[in-house]
Amino acid sequence: MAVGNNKSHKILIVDDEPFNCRILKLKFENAGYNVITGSNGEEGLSKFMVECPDVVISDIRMPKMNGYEMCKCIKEVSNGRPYLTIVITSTVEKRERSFVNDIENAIILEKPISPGHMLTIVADYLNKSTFE
Amino acid sequence: MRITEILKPLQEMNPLSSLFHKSNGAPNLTTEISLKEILDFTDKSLLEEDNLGEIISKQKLTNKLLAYNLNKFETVLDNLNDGLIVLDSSTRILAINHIMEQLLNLKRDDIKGKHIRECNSDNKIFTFILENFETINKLVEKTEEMSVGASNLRVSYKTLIRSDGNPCGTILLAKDITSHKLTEQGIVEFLSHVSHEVKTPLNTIKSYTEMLIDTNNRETILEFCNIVNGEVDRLASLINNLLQLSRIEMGSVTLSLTMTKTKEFIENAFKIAISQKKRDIKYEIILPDKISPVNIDKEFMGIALINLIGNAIKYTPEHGRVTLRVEENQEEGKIIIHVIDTGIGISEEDIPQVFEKFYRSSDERVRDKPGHGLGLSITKQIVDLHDGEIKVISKKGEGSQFSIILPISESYFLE
Repeated sequence: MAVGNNKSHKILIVDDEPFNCRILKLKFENAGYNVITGSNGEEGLSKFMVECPDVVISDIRMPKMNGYEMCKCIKEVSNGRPYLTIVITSTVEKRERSFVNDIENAIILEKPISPGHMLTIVADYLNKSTFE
Repeated sequence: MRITEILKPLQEMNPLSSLFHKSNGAPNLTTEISLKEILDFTDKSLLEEDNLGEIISKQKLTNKLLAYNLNKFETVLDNLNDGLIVLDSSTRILAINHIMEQLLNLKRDDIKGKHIRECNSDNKIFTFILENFETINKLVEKTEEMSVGASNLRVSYKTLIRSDGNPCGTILLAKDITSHKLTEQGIVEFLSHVSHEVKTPLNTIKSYTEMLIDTNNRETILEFCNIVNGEVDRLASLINNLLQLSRIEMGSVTLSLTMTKTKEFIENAFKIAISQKKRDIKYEIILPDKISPVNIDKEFMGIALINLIGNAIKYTPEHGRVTLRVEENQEEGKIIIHVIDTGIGISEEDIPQVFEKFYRSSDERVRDKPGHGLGLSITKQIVDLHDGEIKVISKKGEGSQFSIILPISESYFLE
């Protein structure tokens, strides 16, 4: 992957598990993306408002504000600006997954995830949105 | 006296008779009334004035028999565990049992004989009946779950069919499924927690091993391997805790109670707990000169005590202090084991929930430490199995004191 091309794209990773946050940050930074992180929904929301990322990668179960609430708030504050949402979940429960249907450009990935697979999804979305 | 006048009180006494009126010559009413004793109202000879005395005496007897049978019938209905209401083909209430009275929050005497539209009650059960009643000419059998007040109900509506095949009313049964729902909800939450707790370390293991493939830096490789190793330990500890918890909750645990020397048992548990976590903390153990033995399962009580000491060490910052103090209250026949730390403490709102399965405080200082929120739940269950008690006193930022209170067998009191 051409490292230099991705610098302009920002990725926000929100996860209360520092190990997961760190490895995804490393993967996306190695691919040349500008990565910002948050350890809970509240932090994720405030970083989204300040940094205006192109991609939001979030866990669901988090302290203070969970991923479900954060995604709803982000949708409200985004004012229709396009962004990709990737929700990482450990549950197979429909109730916890269905909210993703209400968000445009959102996908749900079940743990354990592959950082390489996630990188491909992000790259595909950003390439597509750049050409559109 | 007219026959209709004689019949009227009978019908009022047994409104269900309007559902099961005579067809093909035999009464369908399921009662034990002897046919010989009941008036045959088709017998024209009874209409003669001379027979009035006989009619009245037979009517009295019939009334008694019907009242007896009706009473039996209502007793049966009132002893059902489910709510029940029976309506005729115009939604007139013919019978209602005690549980349904409570569910509707209406008094039986106020509504019996009335059409449900006249009852001035907009409860969900009546609405459900009216929605389905539009199709009284059809045979309806429908079940729906609804919440009425604090209860979750499974309500079954069924058209009553007479022996000639025609619909003649409705029977509605309401089963309280609140506890069933709570259990179901508990199972869903438990599975959701387990799924999260299992998949999170799995996720880390998968991500880091995948990244290891692209890493050449020896330091990074070492670091990643350590992370993977730690997550495998975390998974193993979760599985151990879950197995212990399920054994206890399934009731398959049989305690091997033995009279145990309290001092040795406590000192041993303390040593094990300290050796598992190497920290720069001051440890202290305060025991009375003499302690009565306790009747415990050493293996399980050891798990409980090591959990408490382990937590105290985990949440106490460097240079802090963890104290184990034991006291005996001979008057109350109890041995009390206090595990006291100078750690981060527990907030007031967290205290009532610390023994709940999977509960972990949202405090970042707690989240920073590995854990599944199962240790205290297991500890409490083990103490409960020993007819003991566990208590916690804590203040955020000032430390915690967990106390296990165990009964002493009377025969083992110290002289």
